[in-house]
Amino acid sequence: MRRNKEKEAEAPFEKYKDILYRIAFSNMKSKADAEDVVQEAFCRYLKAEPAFENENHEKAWFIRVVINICYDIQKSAWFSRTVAFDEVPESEMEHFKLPFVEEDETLWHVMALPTAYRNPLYLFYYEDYSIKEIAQIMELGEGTVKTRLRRGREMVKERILYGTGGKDRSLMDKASKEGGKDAD
Amino acid sequence: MRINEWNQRKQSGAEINGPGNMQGKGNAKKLGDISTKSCKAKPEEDSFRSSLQKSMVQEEAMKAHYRKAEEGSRIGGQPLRQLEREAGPARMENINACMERNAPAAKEVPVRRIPYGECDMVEVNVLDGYVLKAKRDGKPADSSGIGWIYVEKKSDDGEWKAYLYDGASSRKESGDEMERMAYAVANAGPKL
Repeated sequence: MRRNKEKEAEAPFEKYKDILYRIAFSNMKSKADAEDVVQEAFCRYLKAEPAFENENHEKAWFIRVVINICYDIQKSAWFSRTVAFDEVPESEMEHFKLPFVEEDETLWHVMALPTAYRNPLYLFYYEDYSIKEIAQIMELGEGTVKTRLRRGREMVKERILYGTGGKDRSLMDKASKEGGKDAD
Repeated sequence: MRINEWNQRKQSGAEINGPGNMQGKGNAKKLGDISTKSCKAKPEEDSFRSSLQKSMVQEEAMKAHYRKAEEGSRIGGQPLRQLEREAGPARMENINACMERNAPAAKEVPVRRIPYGECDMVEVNVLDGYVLKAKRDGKPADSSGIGWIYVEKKSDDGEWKAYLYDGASSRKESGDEMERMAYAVANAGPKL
């Protein structure tokens, strides 16, 4: 019985493992943590046995689950006390590869944004999702996604201009208070 | 009146009338009285001179414009008329077709929303809030191997735009980022 279930999960795992790993990495900023998140997402898939209308629906479900798992880990007491959560460590950068877009400095700045801004920006620019699709995945209004894209872009600009301290720090703190979990 | 008095009057009148015994005013100025200042150009003359200069400048600009236009219509460095004479009607059809192909640089087309995987080039510009995706479109129209380039722009305000650019006539220094992208794809060789 368990074997059958595992076999069922093989197809979506092969299809989505790369994109789910990238999304998990953009949130967790570590290879090991990202792999754990992807594994947990497939465990939840096997447990929930969800029925999907089509492939897009299936993909969106996996992405949402991965984002939520990341959020749950980040807000846990252990994680918030032990992990300095801001930028991607240089040692971890080599574990992240985009298939069609060249990685540049901006990508790492996007990953350092607060969760509410990081995910819409990452999905829009680096995974080629439209505003409508992001709104569906994150269960947000399209207007909210547009606002987050705009504000996130401004934050990235400020990070690049002023670095991670000073003005940017206060903006980031303000943003963190405004938007916690993505599906808010 | 005595005859000598009459003669004196006539003589003085002749002096006033001037040469040729023309009728003149008694208070007319003599030639020596005219000051050198009167040789200076009058305001009307000034404006005429400046308008003449303007028209000359305009004429020069027009000449330069026509010269440039004529150079633009040259193919392979030869003036078009000369080519016409040498090539004859059959060859001219080809030349005209080539010129027609080069004329429109871009046309707006419906957005296809091509995925990154199918693109020949992708440019992500987070700071300006857009993504450009470009792909060669169809077979090349001539031996240069450069055909139409499909370029799509996705902005973070939800706007989508798509244009087809003639790869051969797209410009590197264009102010439009989509045209620059088309140029980059056209000059990038095979798939990146």
